[in-house]
Amino acid sequence: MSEYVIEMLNITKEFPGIKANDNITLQLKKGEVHALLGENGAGKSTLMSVLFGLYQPEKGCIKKNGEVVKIQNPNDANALNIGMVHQHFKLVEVFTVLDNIILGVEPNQMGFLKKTEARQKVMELSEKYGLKVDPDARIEDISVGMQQRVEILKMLYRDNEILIFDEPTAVLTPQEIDELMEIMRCFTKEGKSILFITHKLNEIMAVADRCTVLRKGKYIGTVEIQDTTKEELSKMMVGREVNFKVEKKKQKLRDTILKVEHVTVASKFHKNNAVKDVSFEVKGGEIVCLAGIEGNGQTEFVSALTGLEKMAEGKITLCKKDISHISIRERSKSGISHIPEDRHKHGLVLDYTLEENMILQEYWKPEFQNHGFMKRKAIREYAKRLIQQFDVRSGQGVSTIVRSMSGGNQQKAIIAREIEKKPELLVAVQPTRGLDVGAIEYIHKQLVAQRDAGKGVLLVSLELDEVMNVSDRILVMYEGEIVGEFDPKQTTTEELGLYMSGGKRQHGKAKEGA
Amino acid sequence: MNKTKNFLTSQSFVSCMASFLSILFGLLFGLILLFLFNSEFALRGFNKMIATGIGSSDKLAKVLYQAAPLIMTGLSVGFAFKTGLFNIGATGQYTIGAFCALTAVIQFQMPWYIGLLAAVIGGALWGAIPGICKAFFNVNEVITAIMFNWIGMFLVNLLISNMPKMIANYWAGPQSDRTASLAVANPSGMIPKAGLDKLMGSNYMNISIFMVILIAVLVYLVLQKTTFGYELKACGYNRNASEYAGINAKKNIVLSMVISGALAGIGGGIYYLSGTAQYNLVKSLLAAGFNGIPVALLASSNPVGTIFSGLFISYIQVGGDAMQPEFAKETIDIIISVIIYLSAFSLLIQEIIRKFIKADKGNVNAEQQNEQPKKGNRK
Amino acid sequence: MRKFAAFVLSVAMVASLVSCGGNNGTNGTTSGTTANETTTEANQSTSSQETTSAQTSSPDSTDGYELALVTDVGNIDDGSFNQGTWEGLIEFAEANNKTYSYYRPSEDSDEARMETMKTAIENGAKVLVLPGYLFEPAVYEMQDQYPDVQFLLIDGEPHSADYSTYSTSKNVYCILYKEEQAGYVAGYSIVKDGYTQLGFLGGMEIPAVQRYGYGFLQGVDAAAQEMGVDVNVKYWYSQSFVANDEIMTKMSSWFTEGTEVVFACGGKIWLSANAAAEANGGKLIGVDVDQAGDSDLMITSAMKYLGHSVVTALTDLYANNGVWPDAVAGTTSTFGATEDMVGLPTAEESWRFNTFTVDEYNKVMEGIKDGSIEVSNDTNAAPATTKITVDFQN
Repeated sequence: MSEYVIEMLNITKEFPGIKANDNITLQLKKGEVHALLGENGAGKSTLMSVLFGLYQPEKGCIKKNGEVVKIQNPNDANALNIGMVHQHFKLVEVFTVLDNIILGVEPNQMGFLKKTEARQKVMELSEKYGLKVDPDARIEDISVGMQQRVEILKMLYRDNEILIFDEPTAVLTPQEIDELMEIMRCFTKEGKSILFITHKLNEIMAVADRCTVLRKGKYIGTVEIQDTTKEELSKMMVGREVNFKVEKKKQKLRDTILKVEHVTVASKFHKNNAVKDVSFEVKGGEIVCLAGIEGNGQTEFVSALTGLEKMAEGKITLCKKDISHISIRERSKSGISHIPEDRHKHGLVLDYTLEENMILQEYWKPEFQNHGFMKRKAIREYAKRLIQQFDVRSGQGVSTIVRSMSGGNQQKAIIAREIEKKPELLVAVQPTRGLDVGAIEYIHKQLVAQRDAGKGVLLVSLELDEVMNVSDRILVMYEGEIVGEFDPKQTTTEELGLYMSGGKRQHGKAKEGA
Repeated sequence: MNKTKNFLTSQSFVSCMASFLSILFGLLFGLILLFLFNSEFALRGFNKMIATGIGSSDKLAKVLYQAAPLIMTGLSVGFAFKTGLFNIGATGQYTIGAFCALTAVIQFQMPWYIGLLAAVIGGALWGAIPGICKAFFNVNEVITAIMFNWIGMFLVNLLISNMPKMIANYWAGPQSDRTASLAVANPSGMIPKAGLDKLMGSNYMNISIFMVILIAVLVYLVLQKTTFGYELKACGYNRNASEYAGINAKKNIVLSMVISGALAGIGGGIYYLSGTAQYNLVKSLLAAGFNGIPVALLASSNPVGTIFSGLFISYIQVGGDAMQPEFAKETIDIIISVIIYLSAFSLLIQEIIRKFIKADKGNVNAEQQNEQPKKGNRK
Repeated sequence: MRKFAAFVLSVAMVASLVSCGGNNGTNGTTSGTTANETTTEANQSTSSQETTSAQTSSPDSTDGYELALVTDVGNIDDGSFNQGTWEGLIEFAEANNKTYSYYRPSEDSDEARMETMKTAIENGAKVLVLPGYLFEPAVYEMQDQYPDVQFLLIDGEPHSADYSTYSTSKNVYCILYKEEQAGYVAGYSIVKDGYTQLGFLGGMEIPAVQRYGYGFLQGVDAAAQEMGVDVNVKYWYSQSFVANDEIMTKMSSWFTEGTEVVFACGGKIWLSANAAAEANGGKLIGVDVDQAGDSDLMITSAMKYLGHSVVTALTDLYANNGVWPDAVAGTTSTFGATEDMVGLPTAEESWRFNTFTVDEYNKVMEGIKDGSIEVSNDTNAAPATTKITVDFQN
């Protein structure tokens, strides 16, 4: 019997215009956590899709326990005890947790469901691994972290031996991430093997035994984690030295750009207000960070600021102009640029080409249209300049359909568009979510460049590292209120965490604002 | 080399090919069907099916005559579809358009162009209602449109039965179930034939097909070349993103349905102002509006493609009629249905075409890469 | 993307459903015989109908089809006018070894009917049999263009589209019917059979339908006088030749108000009356053709012997070397009881009277034939009645 439970040997997979996997080899030992590291678009997801039977490789073969196997579809993968937690969960929203777990392998007698046994098995599993779930809750009603547990339970329920986690931590809070790590260690102790896809180096260092690195579809190497460092891994991944520290020039504060006074926003989900009486200022030349755990009113506040939603009360002033009640377009004209939280939902028209997306905010300007007719040539040149300047990579240049681009490049395109608008205030909501170190480094640089150019930057972030690294001033939001203001140089992540979780608040600060 | 490959893999070429393949397979199926029905005449029937339309000028005229309203409803459905809406209400808009045109022309004795204008307004109005419901009350346009198909049809029947001047028996004859013949009621209300009827030897022929082609090109320009089209499509693809970009999505949804309705309305106007057909007070929906859906589908909603798909459907229908008496008239409906059904699989077929082209070109690419290994790593 | 594919598929399904519904055709022939295949009820009728035996004969390759029928708009198996005529055509052609076929126009317009007639002629038709008044303008246009083709126009006379000119050329022969006689005998029989609460459901208010209706009233009145009973008749034109809910509602109210039998006179509207009768225990009288097979509720049918007229006319034609004999060329014959062209079906399975006998029926027909019973064909005013109460409804 082979040392490896799963081997993917010399896999090559091509798509029109791109070799997604070029001669890649991945060998997974029994009982190890094996990390698969690579930038966005490096070919990690493609490789996993091949393993899961979603794609057929042009070259190469897959072996299980030393024997060549053919995986034509996910059912084959399942039969080989391979299970996967996808980055975007594959759950039926209106079904209960239990229904989702047994979906596809429903225990039945003559076609009638027999849920009692299933429920018992699920409860046992959930107890054993500390994966607490309410089997009767509907998926749409439970949190993202819970949903992930359901996905994991799904694999366990099927007695899968090889567990693939595709960027599992992207959607989790720091506490949840720690829990997940613990669960993964628990699995390996039982002899299960884990493939852990990520680009977060800290997590790899914490949990993985070995790591395979991909770059631009090519195999770079496999290393033992105990023999390597974070810096070395990132170098393998990006192909150059990466600077984790954001370099900032000395701050030159200017006039107030954004003034928010007593803003209150009603919630769409419950009767309470999502944002309660928030006041602060952003000056030119500073990066103000709105920190907090997801769902504490940041999204609603930004919607109200950019005009996507109406606010119930309050006043917003931009460069001495009252913008509280003007349209989205007018706010944009007044100097707000907005890098939205959800780039697929708000930031891009995915079925438009790159060049069409590049002018999404400005297509009506005389540079791009003449009496309602679009100036195709001018648009193309503008887009070409932008993708060169901001290093946006895509298969077919400016005429690439954005849907086919990698997440990092999509985000870069949005940033290029929003910065090129030359705003007074740049609102960036989780601009580095789901991106790899190279892209994160780049985006942070861009934010700092805006600050250094004397613009105001309002950064909304869930990641404490980012908050500490990039910002000049930190505002912590908890349950729709600002509960504290900090200087990143004089605070610690622990202190911030305390405020973010509602354990502490600076009295008076919330009312006065900054 | 690269250029041809780019062309071969371009979206428009591939979807065009997909439509052609659907047609080809559909016709092949048709041939088999003909053999099953009546093998003795299968080949002759098939020949008639695919050759009649250009066999003589009067048959060609029939093709053009039938195609005009088909293309209009196809444009209507396709336009809405491009902007992310499913206008299943084309038949209601078509009916209202027909009614407005006929009212202007018969009741008020206006010339044909006023009739067409009325058709535009009527269709637009009937399209606007589902649009408004969708934009402001978030009611699915399909539901509203279906309801308004029936409301429109019954409303038109009610109105016409209460307008004695509209009915045929007011002018001549006993028929009370249809509107007056334009030749009798108001010859100037007929779309001019500009001598084409004499040229082609058919009373069917008038200038409407040229108007329709013009409109199709116009629709294409609006969608592809204007900021208005850019906004409409953006709303269709992603309403959230277009709102984020400051586009008034509500306004655009309504406008999109208004235009879609107007296009269907023109279809109704063109058909009934041709002078050959009279509006029947039937109590069922007109199929003409629904037929726009397959026409748009076959053309992948491309306005220029719609011209061709409309012409094709009309062409093959004329051919199908000519297969009589050996084959029942419905035979052609089956064949058309198969073609449409296959074109619904266009995504699948497109994928097959891409694979085919790639396989074909694959060797060439490999060679190219071997010859110029450095160029590959340019980035 | 999958969503899109699913959507496209569902669109295709809707579209294919719709194109099955197809053809905007409606509307009918004389007394409102129409074929409309868009309503679901209409589909049921054909299933119960005996399907027309042969679609076409086999031609001697090049000659094409000598006898051709063009339907006005509906299909050949409409269980009504087209079918009745077609059956006559087949009967003649099979007996005389002629090639024959039928054609259906692409839409309900004069232009399309002419186009289809031309197609038939191109396919070798020497005789065109055209059922229905909708052919009137088409025949007017075509008769002189094709002097060598013989036209048999059933139930109409050629005229210009605006009705200003009537003219029948030598190659055309028109047949009309005395609907009032058929209506009379139906009305007479039903009262003789003991029914006293009656209804007349007309299609569109056109002369042929009116003649049926007024003849029916006269027949009812005559029988009521003979028997000395009082009879109530409800009388209504639905202004439609297709089945619809309005008719059904109306008929339901008639039947619940006590009406026993309704004479459903107009194309497919009998379907609505039939549904109402089924629900409320009523009975019906059919029209134009023997409708006994359509519904068990049909007591009898006021018939025109369409097939018989076609056979008679074509026999005369071929006896005269394939052109209309001078006696009929360019003329219109109005057939009635005298020529045995109208009446009730006397076959046993179609005879569903309680007490009324075929002998009694024959006696009445004799009376009409010899003139002792006179049936007025005046459509300007309703006939005067003595023993019956007629409730004219709107």
